[in-house]
Amino acid sequence: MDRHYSPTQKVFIYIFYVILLVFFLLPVVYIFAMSLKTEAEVLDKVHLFNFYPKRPTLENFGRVIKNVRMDMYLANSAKLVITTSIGVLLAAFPSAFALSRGNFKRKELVMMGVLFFQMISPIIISISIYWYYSKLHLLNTYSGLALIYIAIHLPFTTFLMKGVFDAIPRDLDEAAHIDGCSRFATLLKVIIPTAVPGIASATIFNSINAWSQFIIPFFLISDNKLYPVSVGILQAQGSYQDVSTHYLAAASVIGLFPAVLLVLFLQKFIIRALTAGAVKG
Amino acid sequence: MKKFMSLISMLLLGGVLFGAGQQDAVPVDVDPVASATEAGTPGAPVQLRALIGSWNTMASSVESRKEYYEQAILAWAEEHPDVYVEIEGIPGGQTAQAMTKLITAAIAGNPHDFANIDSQWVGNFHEAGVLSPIDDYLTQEDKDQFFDFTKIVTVRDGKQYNLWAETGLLLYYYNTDYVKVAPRTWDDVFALNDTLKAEGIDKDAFLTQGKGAAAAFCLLPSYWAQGAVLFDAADNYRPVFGEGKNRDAMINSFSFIKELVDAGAMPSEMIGYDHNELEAEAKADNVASFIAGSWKQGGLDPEKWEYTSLPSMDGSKSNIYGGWTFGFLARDKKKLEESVNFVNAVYTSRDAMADRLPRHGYIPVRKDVFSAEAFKSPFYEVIYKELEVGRARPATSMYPEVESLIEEAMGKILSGSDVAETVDEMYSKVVRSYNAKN
Amino acid sequence: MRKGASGPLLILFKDILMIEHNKRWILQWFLPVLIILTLFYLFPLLDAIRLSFTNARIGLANVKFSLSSYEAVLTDPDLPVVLRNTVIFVIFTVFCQLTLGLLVGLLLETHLKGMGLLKLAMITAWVVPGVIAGITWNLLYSSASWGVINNTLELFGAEKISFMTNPSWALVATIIANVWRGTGFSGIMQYGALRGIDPQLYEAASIDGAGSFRRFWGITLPMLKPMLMINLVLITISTVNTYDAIWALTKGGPGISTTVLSLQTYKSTFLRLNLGQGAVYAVLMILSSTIFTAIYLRMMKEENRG
Repeated sequence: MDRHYSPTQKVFIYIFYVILLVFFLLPVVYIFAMSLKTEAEVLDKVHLFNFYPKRPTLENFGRVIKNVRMDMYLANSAKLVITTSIGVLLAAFPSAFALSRGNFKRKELVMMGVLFFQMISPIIISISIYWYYSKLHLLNTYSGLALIYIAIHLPFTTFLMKGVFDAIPRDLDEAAHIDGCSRFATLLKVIIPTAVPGIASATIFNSINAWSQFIIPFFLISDNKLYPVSVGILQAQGSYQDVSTHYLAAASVIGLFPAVLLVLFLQKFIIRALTAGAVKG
Repeated sequence: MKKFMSLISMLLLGGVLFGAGQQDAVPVDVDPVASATEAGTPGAPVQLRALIGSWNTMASSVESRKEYYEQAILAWAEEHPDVYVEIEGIPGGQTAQAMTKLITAAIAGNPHDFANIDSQWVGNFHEAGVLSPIDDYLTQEDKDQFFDFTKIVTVRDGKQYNLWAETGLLLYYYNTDYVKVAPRTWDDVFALNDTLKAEGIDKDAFLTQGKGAAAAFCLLPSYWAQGAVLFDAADNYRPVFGEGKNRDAMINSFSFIKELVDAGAMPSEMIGYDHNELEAEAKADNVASFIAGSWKQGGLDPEKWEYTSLPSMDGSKSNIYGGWTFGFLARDKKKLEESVNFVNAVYTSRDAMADRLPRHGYIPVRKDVFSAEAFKSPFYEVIYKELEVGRARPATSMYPEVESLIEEAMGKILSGSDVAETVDEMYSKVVRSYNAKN
Repeated sequence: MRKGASGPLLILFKDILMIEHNKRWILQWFLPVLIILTLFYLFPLLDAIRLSFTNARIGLANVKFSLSSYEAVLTDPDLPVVLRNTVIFVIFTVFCQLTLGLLVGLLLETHLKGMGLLKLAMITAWVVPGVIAGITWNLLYSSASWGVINNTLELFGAEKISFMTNPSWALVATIIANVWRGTGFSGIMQYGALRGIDPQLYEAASIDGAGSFRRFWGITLPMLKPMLMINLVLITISTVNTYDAIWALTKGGPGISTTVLSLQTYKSTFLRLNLGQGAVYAVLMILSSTIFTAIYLRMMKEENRG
């Protein structure tokens, strides 16, 4: 779409632009600057124009990788996020398909019922789940953790995938049906391939959420070797006696990097899926 | 259709198991190892699980501390080739969650064999009945070396359950440019404020802390100095701070803070300050005197800043001791013994403390450590005396609640709530919790 | 999938949902969601509701059924304050996230130079874990030497703002930090929806001589409405559930001025080990999410009618 803006319009646009850019960028740049500082510099007096590190050092990164083992936590999170993203899609596909293509009177009620679970915060369920898991010997296992991550992301994914499927013309199903495809084959061969942008956006939403889960992995895992990044980052924080902000900042930057990359890489799919009308009221 | 459903379930399970199958296998290695997550000889017959503050392990980002833990663990491993410890780190800033999780785990039957326990949380563990006594593995001489304040927490019904590893306490820091004689009583503090105002020195006369746990930490010494107590230890730790003399003392302590703010000796911003903010204020030369942790002494310019004990209502001394203990949850005798050995070797023996604590800026809790070279200084002479006048935080599950209520009350009082009403409200909440519990 | 176990369940749902007999496949296809949500949400939720009727504490052996937890929570003089905080926090967070998200969407749609950077910045804020967001904003707001915002204000000759220590400012500061983190979601969703609007609609309006404002009110907003409503519900739910960022930022203080329901649930459970009272707060949390959503649905229905 070619739109031309008058100079006054551009001035207005860029005023908003700068305000929003500073708002979103400041905390991230601040943390990044902090991650490059030495301990002596952390307590220096800083304002908007001088908070950059005067003697930038990569030492903090070296320390947190070597001592805090951020590399290990990254690998754990990656595994967990991949397992979750796949698992949640597999669980959501059939019901999203049924919600989209099935004809029944209380469809809205079902959708609301599924979304109701979205209201239940992980803090409410964590202690009960600890007890169940302890009896089922699922504590300290990725299977256990991945199952609950899948559950946490299931309501929203079902909702999103229903929208994605709705946006796919029914003519395609009918053509497949005439070709003799069963419902299952239609879902597998026709709907899912067409829904790739929608699947990608669900994956982004789920990955970001899974990446930053805190209380669930913290409560259900008691083994450093299994912690995801969101919990691992805090191992860089010292006791209350210590000045450890620069280490924590370095750990955060390492922890953020893959998530930002993932989103950057996949975001055009979100836009495409949403543009195609994946979310309708 | 059934086929489809089973396919889905299989894929789901498969994906999940894929994740599970990826766990690290234990390396076959006979040499002892020391890392943030393990200590000792892998595959050894005695396998222990430990939960330790990550700052107190090799995960510490400070190189000198990491070095200490490495050599201490390797030296211990040399003498205990039959033991292997798997270490889980407590993430920084997550004490309450970690302690809650540990108690839940212990009740559910899968606790660690030993754990770093914040001294203020020990009461919760006693009441849950999950700690094992360790007297069999300690010598009387060793026990006697620990300061008396530790025993209120570590000893219950004559049995010792914990080893106290390190502490920190509060000091009154004053800038000698502005404060010639350190105030000893509250009246002295107000007099100091008047003097500064009269001389036109625009500095905060007296700063204390109100952020998070620091609020209770800084309030309680002035409360205890009036001879008051929070709980009646003899009566099943019944809360008593809202009764009689104790109530008066609590009201006095809060009123002191409020009056300081009203008199302009301290900005109401103090409710957002803890040790780090105060240190920064001091370095920016905004304050004449303040209360902060003993570990801040090294960061202040010794030319300008002096330290001494805390001022109180009538000049009586008191202090508060924080810090962490080790608690032992193993039931198996052999595991229990080896756990105590490990903690002693790396954390709580005289030699361990003498080597380890200076690297952290912690204060020792054993008397014999003070004879070590690193502790022969005027600073530690003051510290030694301070360790005899104060109290540890009471070993009851009610204390964490009182602590968070004190912080909330401080905020309410400085935003205008009536002191006596706020204290009474706080007390009735604690009494209600206490009654619900018993 | 054992048929014996799922059979009665299916029949029950079939009746509730009024699904015709020849469409049983629909029910079977719901099974994965049904099973997972029941196991991981419904049972723990029922457990929480059960606990709310007890005096349970972590570590307490003799748990009794009683109304003491409800009594303690409902008569707590802090409860009205916490509810007020929750309502303010939710309404302002949701409003700002929606408006800022829309603004970013509109800016991105201009395709002018540098807009990609704005998108990147917004997305980065979105992926920051709550605890880290809280710690970062706490540093930014500080009135000590490392507090960039206050030092910058001072540089321009303004007074420092006691973000973390003045009760009203603390709530504002908490909302700002939460808006910062949450706008990415709403911004991306709305940008996508904006791009989905048929350009011909705008062209037609331009030919009719409509200015930018009229095009916005007449075309953009009505076309965006379905997405805005969905966003409204989802953001509200996640805002009611936010606790980790607030805990890391203010610990709920000063006093209880930034303590919202979810944080109170968290404090009761993990700080005071009071499972009973924590469960009561949890029930209140779900109630408030439900009330917010019900209000939105009512709004939507009335709009549709009118």
